[in-house]
This record gives sequence, structure tokens and C-alpha cells, in this order.
Amino acid sequence: MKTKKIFMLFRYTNFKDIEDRLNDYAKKGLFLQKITKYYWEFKVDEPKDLKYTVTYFSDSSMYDSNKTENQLTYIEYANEYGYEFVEQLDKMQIFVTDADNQIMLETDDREKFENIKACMGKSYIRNISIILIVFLLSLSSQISYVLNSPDTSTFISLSIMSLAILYYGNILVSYILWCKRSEKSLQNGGVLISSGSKLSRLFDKTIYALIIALVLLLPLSYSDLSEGVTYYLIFIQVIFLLLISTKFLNYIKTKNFKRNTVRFLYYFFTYTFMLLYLIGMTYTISKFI
Amino acid sequence: MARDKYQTLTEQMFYILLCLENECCGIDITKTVNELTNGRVIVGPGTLYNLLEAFQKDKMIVETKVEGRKRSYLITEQGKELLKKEYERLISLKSDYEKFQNGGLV
Repeated sequence: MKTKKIFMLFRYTNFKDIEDRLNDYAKKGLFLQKITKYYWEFKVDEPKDLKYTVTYFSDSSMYDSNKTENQLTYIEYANEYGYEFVEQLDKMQIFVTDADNQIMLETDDREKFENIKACMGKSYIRNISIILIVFLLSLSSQISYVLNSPDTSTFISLSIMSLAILYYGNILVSYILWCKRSEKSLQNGGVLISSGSKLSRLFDKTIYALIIALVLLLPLSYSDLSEGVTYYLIFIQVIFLLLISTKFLNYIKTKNFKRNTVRFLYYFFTYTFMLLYLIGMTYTISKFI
Repeated sequence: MARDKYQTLTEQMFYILLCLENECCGIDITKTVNELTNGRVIVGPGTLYNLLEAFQKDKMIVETKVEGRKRSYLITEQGKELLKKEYERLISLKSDYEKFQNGGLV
């Protein structure tokens, strides 16, 4: 069976955007079959008109690969109405049905809205807020340093940080605005506002492209060549650390541990590994200085 | 929180509670609602699951039987009260409408 891996740049909250893109892919003969942290895998087959639906299920978690009884019941209800479960990512579930299936998976917009808010607040928005605060704190701590001794490399580093703040800030603000607009629309007897737009996708693509360009440009801005090489090495090591921690998470998820045990082991392993890495780096640098 | 959520019931909420005046399993509810309303109100499976969960959590319904993954429910006294309140609200809307149409405000 032929498959195609696609790097999907998407916002977890933009369910309509994800649905539209999956429908378009199906029309081109690409059918989603697996979601990983780095790419989405599609089965290549004859083009079909399908209807994908994205929902959020508060009971599922990224620390648990097994479906709970509640989730299995949800899936069974969906199956009864011609919806087939495709994949899930944390609390996001993706279903597919024939394009002519008239019954929507979710028919009560108010209830759908409350469910999305409950699912997002629990993890996604909280995590985005934490990332944003960390970036803002590091940016504010470095600004005075840049003002005192401006150089190209520090300027590029700060630009990367600023773009990341812009990206995560935009996700947060867009979500809050979507909540406000949807609340207003529902109160006035209207429907849930569609989430995601071509403009936000273009914004995300631009920010990603700029960050990648700046990350690659950064080592060239160092006056000393060895500093640039060191930067590349650190960059590769960080990527390696991220890959290892993801592999570890996938491994422990197969061991049928309880969700909280998986969460604990994942964070324990990741932080211990990072700490050992930092100690090792500090030791090596102190040896050379 | 629960009081706010149930201040006015959506059509799906109303019909699910109404169906559960008799013990009924999840999937059968959608079929009954469909028949009762001649297809005017459709309860999607996702909405059905989420509403049953919410109603159960807020003690508007109770789970009466579990056979495999087939769960049956029945409305509670609290749920009946909520349903009656919504019915009375709708009746008062109807009566206000009639009053207005018959020149009752003049």
C-alpha cells in the first residue's frame, strides 16, 4: 500500500480548517491514516468525496494510547450513524463518513462550543500560555543585554524569540476572539463561528519560514567560526533530545501503564535527561576554559 | 454552572430528556427523537454522547443498565423538574404570542 507523509502545519483549535484540508486531500486520493508528532501519514488511493469531522473528547489524553470505555462508547455511537474513527491527537478525534451523510456528528452548537472550551482549557491553552510566559520572560531579560552590546547574532536570537511570541500570542488571541464571537453568535440564536482561515494558515507558514531561515542564518552571524559550529552541534543535540523523549513516550504508552504513571515517567525521563545533558555541557565547557 | 447551562434547553436537550421518561438506551434515543419530530430535530451521535454525559453528571438522568457498551438511562426527578420548567416556559411563550396576536396588549 502506497503512503505519503505530509508535514501538516495546523492549529489544534482550528477544527474547520483541518476538516476542509482533509476533505480536499481525499478528493486528491490522499486518506489520513496516522498522525505522528512530526508528520501526518496518508494512504494513496482513488480520489473520493468524503466528509471528515474533527471533535474533541475530554477523556482522551496524549499519555494514553488505549481508548477508555467512554471513548469506545462515543465511537460506537458515531459508527451507528456511518462515522468511522480515523485517528486522534491528544483530545482531538478525527472521524470520516461519506460526503452525502446528512447527519452531522455534532448537531447542537451550544453543546459543541462548551465541549471545545472544556477540552482546550484543560491542556492546550494552558500549555500555550505557559510557553508564551516563558518566552516573554526570557525576551525581557535579554533586551537590556542587546541594547548595551548590540551584535548580529544576539539580534537574530531575539528575532527568533519575538517571532515565536508572535506565533503563540496569535494562537491565544485568535482562540479568545473565536470564543467571544461564538458566544455572541450563540446568544443571538446564531451558529458556532467557523474556526481557522486561509489568512491564519498563511500567517503560520510565514512565521515558520522566517524562524527556520533565522535559525539557519544564526551560526553564520558569529564572528568566530568555532562558535557557529558549536551552535550547530547544540541545535542538533536539542533535536536529538526531542526525538528521544518522543520515542520514549511512544514506548511507555505501549506498556499499558496508567495515564498518570506514563505522564510521570515521561516528564521524569525528559527532565533527568536534560539535566544530565546540561551538567555534561557545563563540565565540558569548564574543562576547556 | 449547571443552572446557567439549563436556563433554557436546546431542542436536542429537551427531546433527549423527554425520551428518557421511559428507560431507553443511547442510540435508540436519536431514533425516537427522529420519529417524534418527523425528522425535524436530529441529534448527532457526538452531541448525544456529550449531552448524556452532561445530564448524568448533573443528575438529570441516571444510568440504569449496561450491556456491553450499550447503556440505558432514565430521567430523574430533578430532570423531570427541568423538563417541566422548560415546558412551562414554552407555554408562556405561546400564550404571550397569542395574547399579542389577539390584540391583548392594546
